[in-house]
Amino acid sequence: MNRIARWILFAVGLILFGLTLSVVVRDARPPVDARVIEGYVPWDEETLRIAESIPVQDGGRIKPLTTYAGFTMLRLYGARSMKVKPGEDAETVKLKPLAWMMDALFRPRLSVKQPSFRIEDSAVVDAIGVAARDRRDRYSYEELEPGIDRLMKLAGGYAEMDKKERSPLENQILTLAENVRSYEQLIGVFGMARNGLKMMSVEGLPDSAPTRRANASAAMATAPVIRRVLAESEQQNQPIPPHVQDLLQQILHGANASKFGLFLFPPKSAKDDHWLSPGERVMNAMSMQTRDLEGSIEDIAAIERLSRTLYETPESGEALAARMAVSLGHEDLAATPDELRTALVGKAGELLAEEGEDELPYLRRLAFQHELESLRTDLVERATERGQYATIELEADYYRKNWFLHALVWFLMGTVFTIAMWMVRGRGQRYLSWAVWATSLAGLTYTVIPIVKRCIIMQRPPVGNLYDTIIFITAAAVIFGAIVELFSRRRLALGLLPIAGTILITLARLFEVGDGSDHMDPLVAVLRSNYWLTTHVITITLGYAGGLVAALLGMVYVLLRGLRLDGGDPGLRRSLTRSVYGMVCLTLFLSLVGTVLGGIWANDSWGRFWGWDPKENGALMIVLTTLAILHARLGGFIREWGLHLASIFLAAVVTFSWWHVNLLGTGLHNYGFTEGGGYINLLYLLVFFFIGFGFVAMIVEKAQAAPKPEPAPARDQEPSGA
Amino acid sequence: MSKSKSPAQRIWRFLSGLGLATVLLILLGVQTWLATLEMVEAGLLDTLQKYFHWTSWYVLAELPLPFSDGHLIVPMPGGYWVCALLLLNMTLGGLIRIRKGWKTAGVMLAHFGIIFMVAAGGVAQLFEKRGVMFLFEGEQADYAVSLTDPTIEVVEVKDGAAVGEVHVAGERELHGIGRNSSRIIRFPDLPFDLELSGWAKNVVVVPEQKGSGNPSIDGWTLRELPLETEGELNAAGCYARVVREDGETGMPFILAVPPARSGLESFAPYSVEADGRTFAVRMVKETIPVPYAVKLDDAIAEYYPNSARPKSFMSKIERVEGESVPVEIRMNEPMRRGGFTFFQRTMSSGPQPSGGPEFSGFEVVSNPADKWPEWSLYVVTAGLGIHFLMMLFTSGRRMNRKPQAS
Repeated sequence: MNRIARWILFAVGLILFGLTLSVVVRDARPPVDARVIEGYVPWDEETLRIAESIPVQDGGRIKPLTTYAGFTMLRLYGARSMKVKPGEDAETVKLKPLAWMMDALFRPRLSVKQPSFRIEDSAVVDAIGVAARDRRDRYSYEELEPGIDRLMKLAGGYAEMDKKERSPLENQILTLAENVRSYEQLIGVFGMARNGLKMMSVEGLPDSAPTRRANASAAMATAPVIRRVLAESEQQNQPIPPHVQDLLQQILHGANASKFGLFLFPPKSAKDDHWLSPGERVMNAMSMQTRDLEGSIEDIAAIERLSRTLYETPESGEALAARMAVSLGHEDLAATPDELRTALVGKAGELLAEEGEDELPYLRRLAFQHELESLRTDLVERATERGQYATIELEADYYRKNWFLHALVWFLMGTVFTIAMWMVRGRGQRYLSWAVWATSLAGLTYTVIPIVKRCIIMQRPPVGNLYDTIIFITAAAVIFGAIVELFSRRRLALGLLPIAGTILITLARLFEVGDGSDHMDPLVAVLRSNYWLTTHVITITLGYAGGLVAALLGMVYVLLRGLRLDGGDPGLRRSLTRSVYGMVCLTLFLSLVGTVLGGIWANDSWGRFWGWDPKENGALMIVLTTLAILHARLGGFIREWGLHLASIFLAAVVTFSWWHVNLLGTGLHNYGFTEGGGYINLLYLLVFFFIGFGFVAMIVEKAQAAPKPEPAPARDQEPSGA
Repeated sequence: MSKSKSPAQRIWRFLSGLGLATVLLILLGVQTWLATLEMVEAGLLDTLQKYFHWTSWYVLAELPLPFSDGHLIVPMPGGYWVCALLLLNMTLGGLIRIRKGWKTAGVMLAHFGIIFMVAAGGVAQLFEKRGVMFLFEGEQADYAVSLTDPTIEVVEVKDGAAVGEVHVAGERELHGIGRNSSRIIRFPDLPFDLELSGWAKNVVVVPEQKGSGNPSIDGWTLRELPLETEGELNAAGCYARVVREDGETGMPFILAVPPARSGLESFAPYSVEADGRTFAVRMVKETIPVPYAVKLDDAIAEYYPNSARPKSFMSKIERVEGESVPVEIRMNEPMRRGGFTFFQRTMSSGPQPSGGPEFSGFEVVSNPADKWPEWSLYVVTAGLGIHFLMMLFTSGRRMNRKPQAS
């Protein structure tokens, strides 16, 4: 039995490991089908490196472009990478968020062909009159375009409805409409800068070419003249000249299209904290509402140069040489040594002379890099002057390093070692236990470092939203488990470290993808208190971690004893019981203190200590459950089995408090509302499965241990001693 | 064999026992869970009333059934009485019966802290006053208006102005009055009393509707509305008539609180002639006087740039009590003074489109036990900390001893 059960457990462990691995791999890899986009050229690494740390304002804070790109792509596309193919037979290109966003900003004609919109239910595309494919699929803007008018009309109606009365389909239509609007804002950011303004022929003037185009920056420079013309027309009660009216309409349209997608330009005044989008820069200049007209014109001119270089050939060898010089790290061509300058001019001349189909992309890329670098340098200088660039590089690095993926890999390796450790005996087990320790501590390190980095970037304590709680609980659970192992030294708590780490980091990644919002954005007014975030929030979150560790230990106990894997070793059982008891005590201490601290905070924020808010009730339930367990244990109403079954139940209570209350959609703790009740029900099922299994095992064990009555001697049987 | 015990001893052991504690803790946990689920549909105030009010001796809790719209009815004892019994049990078991010694010092301290905390809740429930004060910039007030409690106010009127004191029938007089019952509210200093009937917690005054069955008063009637999930939005109302000292009753009239969204403080008062004097009768949310005036100088709402995310709400006020003292009230930083605490509750979202002044709303609370929970926290933390550290120490020593013994 012992051996069979061990192998069954091994198989179950492997299956669970495989399932987790598949979730992780699916999460890390882009959706399988690569969309063919003829002529697609991937961005080179150097360009992406330059773009990565361009500061932008989003969600109320300054962040690197790579962060903005990452969460925008997650929200729209539901993953952090996308596959495209430049041709049917071409090799697949994997697009990361920054490249995806660069396409939307600078190459919208290619971008609109990318399948950027995740649709969970084909009924959504049916509803807007677009031909649906699979039930879950991804669509490009080009594919959705015929149905966008209908989409906006439907969404307008649904937005008016009470949130609780909307069906899931209606919610999905609303979400799609929001995503389409966000995307349109992105592809519109540099639209006017790229295309310029079409100049209308002026009546009475010779040589007015109807197709002539002008730069928006040039139009901005004429803003005082245009305003004078408008004023004169008004004074003389004359209509506005048609070419001026046409120009103004184009500017208004272009500015509106580029008003919300990217807040790129730091304002000149140190007191003003609103960064400006290209559209705002243009409109402020045209309406003469800026004290920085010159700066506005320069900004727009810079993005005009940048956004056109991808489509234009560099105009002269000297200009190209200047860009090459800058890309080599010199201030300009004049600042280069004579020899290099000659070489650069010569090379540029050669390139232009040989200009052919093959060289054009290279030249354009070079020019684009130069303009992008100039823009970036300017923006970084301005952000630095305002003291808003200090953590941008750190944040770009944080996302580049992908810490939690590495943590997951370590924990997964640790899980494999754990399974092996629990399967073997003797020296092999000892070596494997070292491997589990090493991988678990490596996973813990890869969890703690990004948490610390997040604190530095956010300038606040580590826990402020639901995502923060997951990664924090991961670290806390591993540390608590390690402490239990150091006390018990049975290699049982040790094995739980990587398993808990794997489950929780996977949960964090799934939550991040599902939520699609930047969890480093600043906190709302009521939560802005580093004192309370440090005391109440951290204490209560540690309480959740304690409860989960107690429940995991309880599950191990139930499996070991229920499947007779412990060989009836009373020492092992006692050790586990003592560990669980200790964790329940710790959970009580942290939850009780955390709950009261929360009450005191609520008393300072809302004027009442206790408001029966669902989150408060959840915390109270943890306190009451742990108190009930400890009192029942002290009174002798539960013994070993009872303590472990009750501690497993604690996991359900922690889940209710940590996650479930967020789904209720009521209460003042509205910083963590989310969706995903299905997963929670699965967890409840798992908890009750363990409790049910343990209960049955307990009854079977007691029945077997009960003294069997002496068999009555058969009447025809003679007494043996006779 | 245990010695036989007297009934008093049995009761003592039962009331101070760990068994009762365990059962009560489980009951309270289950009730909290069920109430949390129920408040999603029924609203906070009604759920609390149902589960935890002292008048609820038992509760028929409704457990939502998965995969259906149905509910399972779970009968349970009332939460208030479970708490009361738990408090008794904690006092008897955790402070009196418990074996006294340094080993149990932490536990006793923790029990004492929790009892103190519960006592703070009890004091708050009995004596707390809670209202709101809305001020536009430049305005001043020295009273707040209750969020939930309706009151009936009667004041004598002479030459169109109120004279003398305001006679009030408040929560104590009106509590428990129902739709199908009537109650006479006594005003000993007035030449009449009021008889109330048809009381409803949330009503709207509408033109008479034929066939509705509701009494009609001068072409108007009360239409009962479903209770709002946010209790502050309920507007109570009833029918009333004057009962004079000689027992003669007057014509019925309507008393109602105006709907919260109307912005009206009260409907036009009903005029009563008695003993040659004129009185005005009206129903309003209870007025809570504050011992000083508060003048709003500036309401400052800040949002994070380029987002609708609120960053900070701050009111610059002057506290006027003889002299004027400038004070800033903001989220998480209330003003405590004279037994009242002013919390930043709501605020206009920046400059008004009409160019008018901005406004700020304060939650005004008078709670004698305001700071008790904080003090109890220190006691509980110390108690549990001492106890668990001692346990950890003892357990560690036992573990270290074991290998040597073997």
